Amino acid sequence: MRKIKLLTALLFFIGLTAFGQTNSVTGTITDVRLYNEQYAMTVNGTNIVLIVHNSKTGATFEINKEYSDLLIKSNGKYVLNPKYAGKTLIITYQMNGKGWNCIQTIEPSKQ
Amino acid sequence: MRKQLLFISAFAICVLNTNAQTILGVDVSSYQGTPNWAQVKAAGITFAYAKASEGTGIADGDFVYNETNGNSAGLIMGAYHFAHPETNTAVAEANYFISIAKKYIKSCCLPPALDMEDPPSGPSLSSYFTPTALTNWAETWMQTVYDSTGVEPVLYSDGSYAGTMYLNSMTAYGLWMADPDGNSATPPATTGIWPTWVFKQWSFTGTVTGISGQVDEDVFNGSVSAFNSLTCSAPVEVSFTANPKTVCPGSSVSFTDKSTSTGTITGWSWTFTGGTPGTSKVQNPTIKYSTPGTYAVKEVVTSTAGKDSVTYVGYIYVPSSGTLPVNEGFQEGFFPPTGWHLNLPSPSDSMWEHCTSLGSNSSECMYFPGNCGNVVNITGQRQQIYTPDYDFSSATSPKMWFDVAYEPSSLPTYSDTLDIYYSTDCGNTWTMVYSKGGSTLCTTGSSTSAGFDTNGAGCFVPASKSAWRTDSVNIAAVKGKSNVMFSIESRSGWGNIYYVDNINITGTKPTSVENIAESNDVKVYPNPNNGSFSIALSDNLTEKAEVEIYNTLGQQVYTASVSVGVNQVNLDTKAAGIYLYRIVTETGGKLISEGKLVVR
Repeated sequence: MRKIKLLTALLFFIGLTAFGQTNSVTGTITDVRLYNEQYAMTVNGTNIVLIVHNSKTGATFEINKEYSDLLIKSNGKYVLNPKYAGKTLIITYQMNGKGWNCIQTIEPSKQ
Repeated sequence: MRKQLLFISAFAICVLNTNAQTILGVDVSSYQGTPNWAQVKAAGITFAYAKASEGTGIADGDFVYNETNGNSAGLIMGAYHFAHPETNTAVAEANYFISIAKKYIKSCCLPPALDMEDPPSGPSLSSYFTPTALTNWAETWMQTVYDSTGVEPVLYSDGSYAGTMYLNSMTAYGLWMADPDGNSATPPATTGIWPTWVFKQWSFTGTVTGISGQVDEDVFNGSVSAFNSLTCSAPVEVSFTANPKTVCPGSSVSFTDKSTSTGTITGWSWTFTGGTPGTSKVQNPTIKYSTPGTYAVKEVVTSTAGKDSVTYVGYIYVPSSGTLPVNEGFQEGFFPPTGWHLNLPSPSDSMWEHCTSLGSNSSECMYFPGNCGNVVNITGQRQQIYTPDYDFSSATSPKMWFDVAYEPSSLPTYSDTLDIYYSTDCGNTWTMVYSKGGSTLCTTGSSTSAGFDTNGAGCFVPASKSAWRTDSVNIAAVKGKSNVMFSIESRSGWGNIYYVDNINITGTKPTSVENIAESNDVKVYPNPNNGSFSIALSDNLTEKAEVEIYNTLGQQVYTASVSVGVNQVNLDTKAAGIYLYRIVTETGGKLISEGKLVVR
């Protein structure tokens, strides 16, 4: 019985870590593209998604406030803000319900 | 159905604001692992879509778990397919989805859903397709799934695609709108060209008790009664019976429809391969079968709840006529022999098979696998092989004998039985004429084979001629009857393999050659022949014997040992003419039988 409890706890832990885990990637943002009404981009080989939040006042991005200007509108579509081009960033992301790696936070790299 | 769906949705959107109970759902895939569905239900979730398939080669590994456990927990479940129209045809993807999900599209489930969105990598769908092409792809998928399941699917789309990438004809299908605004209580910001919506996916990042990590959250557009009307419009369950299922050529079969539906059944459409008429629209048709063969029957049933179909392959059997005498040694190189028929009550069961490496006096026979190689308990399985129809109306002395080899399992629990029946009405009714099992059927005098080894190590294999026995069957009852067919039936006890070879059936003594001194224990056939013939010795003969063949000059041209069972003789190198054969005991040369032999 004790073994069963231990096994259950272990499986629960594995489940939490596998499906609720926050990961991070460090690198420069490239290849920003529209993706199912969101924005997908590539960082150091990892595809990540920036979720768009549409409201009556316009679109914002579900990201920490310091980087809310990550994408700017140009010719009717969003592109990478030039001030972040080539900058090395630390980006944390979490898998959402659709299996996308959704950006949670962006921070500057200290290197 | 389409109108019904739209009506329900249109009605529902009017009552949503006044309906206190919002019907919430989630959609999951393997990204969510294995949810605790009881907890999900307790968290207030009413329905769930589970990903079944993607493209033509990805089956979601948790689909069956989700369907099974979600249903058990009381959720209304549905299946969705993630499309890759940029890669595959709509028909191929629809058929792949059907192969995985159809079993779960049944009474009280969500309509199947087609998930159309940008592929995970590469260009967006809009770079591959014009609206016309994408609409054609989606409609073909929808129609293929509908034809198979009888349930109208819905389309999952985001607002951008719903507004620009589909033609108006697509709005005949319900819309599952992706609009992750975080609000389950408001309609989608847009429904594109659709006038209304069925489901809204209001979050990509929801959290629900019982599901690890984040999950998509959905809401149904309408009341409880509207939801029930949508989800519990049961597909038709099609089934039928036939009586009889085996008939003589020219006889008729009565089909009885047994289909059910929660709706009102409005039509039946039958297709009878090989039957007359070949199609029918009545509920319980009677069909005539004139030509020997094995025939499929298809029934399509339409009701107010949808339509479905079922095809029973090899369902009707019309036996062909055979010619006496029979000496079936399974030497044709294929199985079953021409005119013989494997009757399989359940297609997944074990069946008689062709052995190509051993036999009573050759390297071929037929065998029933018994236990060996079967990890599944096959106790009780009864599989028959039918002979053709034979005419015994002028028979004077019907005889049947065959070679058998069997050794029971060392575990007496697993005892197998071999039965033989005859029928005089083309397989409709049967009379048993032979039944041996266990130690009675045993031909080796021992039961040393384990017979319980899935690796086959303990399976019985007759190592030599001495492991075989010739058994006679009393078929005197068929004298004077026509349309006589035999059924050799294995009744498995999950024990061991049994082998059957050299099935001999005769009705009338040869009349073309006089003075053949043939006893009931010795048969020489055919006669006349082309130099190849058989000598069959019954198991009443206990002494070793040999055959001697002489030409008209009295010169011996052939001699060989013969034993109980069927012995093949080949005189191909000898000239045509009349010969004398003598069968004598090896010890002492005592005459057993003699006669003339005509070689043409």
